[in-house]
Amino acid sequence: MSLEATIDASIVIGGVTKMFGTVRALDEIDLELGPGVTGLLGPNGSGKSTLLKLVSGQLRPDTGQVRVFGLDPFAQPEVFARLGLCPEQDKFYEELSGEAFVIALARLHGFAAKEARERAHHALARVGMSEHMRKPIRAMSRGMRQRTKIAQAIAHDPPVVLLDEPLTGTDPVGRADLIALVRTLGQEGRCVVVSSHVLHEVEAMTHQVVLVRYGRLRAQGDIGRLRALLDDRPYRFRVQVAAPRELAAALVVLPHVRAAEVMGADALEVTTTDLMALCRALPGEATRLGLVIEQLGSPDADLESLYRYLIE
Amino acid sequence: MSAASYWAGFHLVRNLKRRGTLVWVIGVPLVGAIMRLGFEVPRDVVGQLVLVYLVPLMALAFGGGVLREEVEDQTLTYGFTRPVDRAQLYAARLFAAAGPVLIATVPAAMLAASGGVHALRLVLAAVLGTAAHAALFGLWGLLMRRPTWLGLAYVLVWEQSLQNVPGWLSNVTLRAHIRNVAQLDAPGLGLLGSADAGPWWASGLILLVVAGVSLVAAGMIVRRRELVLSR
Repeated sequence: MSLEATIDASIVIGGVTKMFGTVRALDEIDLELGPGVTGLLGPNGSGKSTLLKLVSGQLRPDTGQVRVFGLDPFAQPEVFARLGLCPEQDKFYEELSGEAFVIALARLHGFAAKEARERAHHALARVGMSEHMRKPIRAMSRGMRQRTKIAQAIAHDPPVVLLDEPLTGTDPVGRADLIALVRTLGQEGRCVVVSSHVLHEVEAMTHQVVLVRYGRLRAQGDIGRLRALLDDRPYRFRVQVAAPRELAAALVVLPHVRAAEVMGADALEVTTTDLMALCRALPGEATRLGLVIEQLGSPDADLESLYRYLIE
Repeated sequence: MSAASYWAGFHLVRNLKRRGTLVWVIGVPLVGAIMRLGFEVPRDVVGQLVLVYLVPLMALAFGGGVLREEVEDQTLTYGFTRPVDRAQLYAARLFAAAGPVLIATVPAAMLAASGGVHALRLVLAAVLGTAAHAALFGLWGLLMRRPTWLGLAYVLVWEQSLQNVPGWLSNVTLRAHIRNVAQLDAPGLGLLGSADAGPWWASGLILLVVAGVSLVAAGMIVRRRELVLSR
């Protein structure tokens, strides 16, 4: 891949491999990311954080190159005037208030005291922390700490924002607010990269995803396309019910059901090629048999299954 | 104010707010004053204790783990993902670490002054001694995980052993040059005079060179090293 960025690409990663001892954390990654939100998806240990550490200059690739606006983030710190990072770790200068923390880091961008304060206040307001910004960080909830961490990443108004697992530890309301903020940052034309191992979280923020597993790029593009790939595959669905044999017998005759396997005394696993059709048929069949569905779930609803399907 | 100097001030204030630092900053001058005024310990002995022992040991304690502390606290990312040269950020952190050493030892060293000019020499010796030791131990801290034992061995074994060796070998120690700049002799401590260390300004220059070379070498390492935060 040419390291000359295309017109819209803010981040260009070309042939990047990163080893930790004998472990290949990233293997020949080629990627270009431009404006908008991109979800960096992968299970824990897949290489997402390593990729973000390379883009944020914390690590240096063993082979290949990383460029942000044409600059090497490891060797050219000036790139950080245009790049903000919300790191994964929940670590701070604990004795400071959220306000003091964000101001201090804004000052490192060369802003004078007054401007740094204004920028910090603005960033803290954007993450909904105005009310709590004078609280010592050590006394903050995990959600507040996450917000403060995001505030320091956006206080200098960077066109590239890297958010490593930003929703970790947030409550549902806080999560919704942060998802809205991420979407807004993307709509403002920034290149926002959000890493997560939770598919639905990323789906709520963006349709553009990059899938990483075992340090390799598995897929990239619109999440709808990936979903469609899933839809073409048999999908497993687990139903907990008092009489699984009866329900299995009723379901297995449906045209889209490939198999219905009884799993113990109170559960069955249905394999279907049309998940929506199964979801429509299931309540009716259960009612007809006088059964109460106690629990529904899918072992295929997680990222692992998505990877499995994509790799198969 | 440059971003790096702001960072130095920021961390200096953080350091000074720590209880452990305050004990040193208040305790060292206080103990010096008690020794000097309460027990009438000779000026030179107080000066030697402060400049020859406390300066290196405090520099080791404060400067030896300049970045290690932030690596272990996992806060290094915040500073190192700003548009500032990492070497400058390292120098800022080193300055912040050296600050408490100076704040503690300069007043204590002044207790050994026999006059205005001598007081200036003592201050200069404290500043240069702190700079040389903090930069040297800071460099060691980048090269090894735990520089404390090596640092203690350096101060208490290497320098202690060589200081009484006649001839040029005693000048291989930093303390010989600190004493020369400070114009101190303390026969009561078993220390020889510093007459053979050459002119005092040359000793000052040597301390400055040690500080400068260590700082530059550390800066080069910091620029090339990956940030691997402990988990």
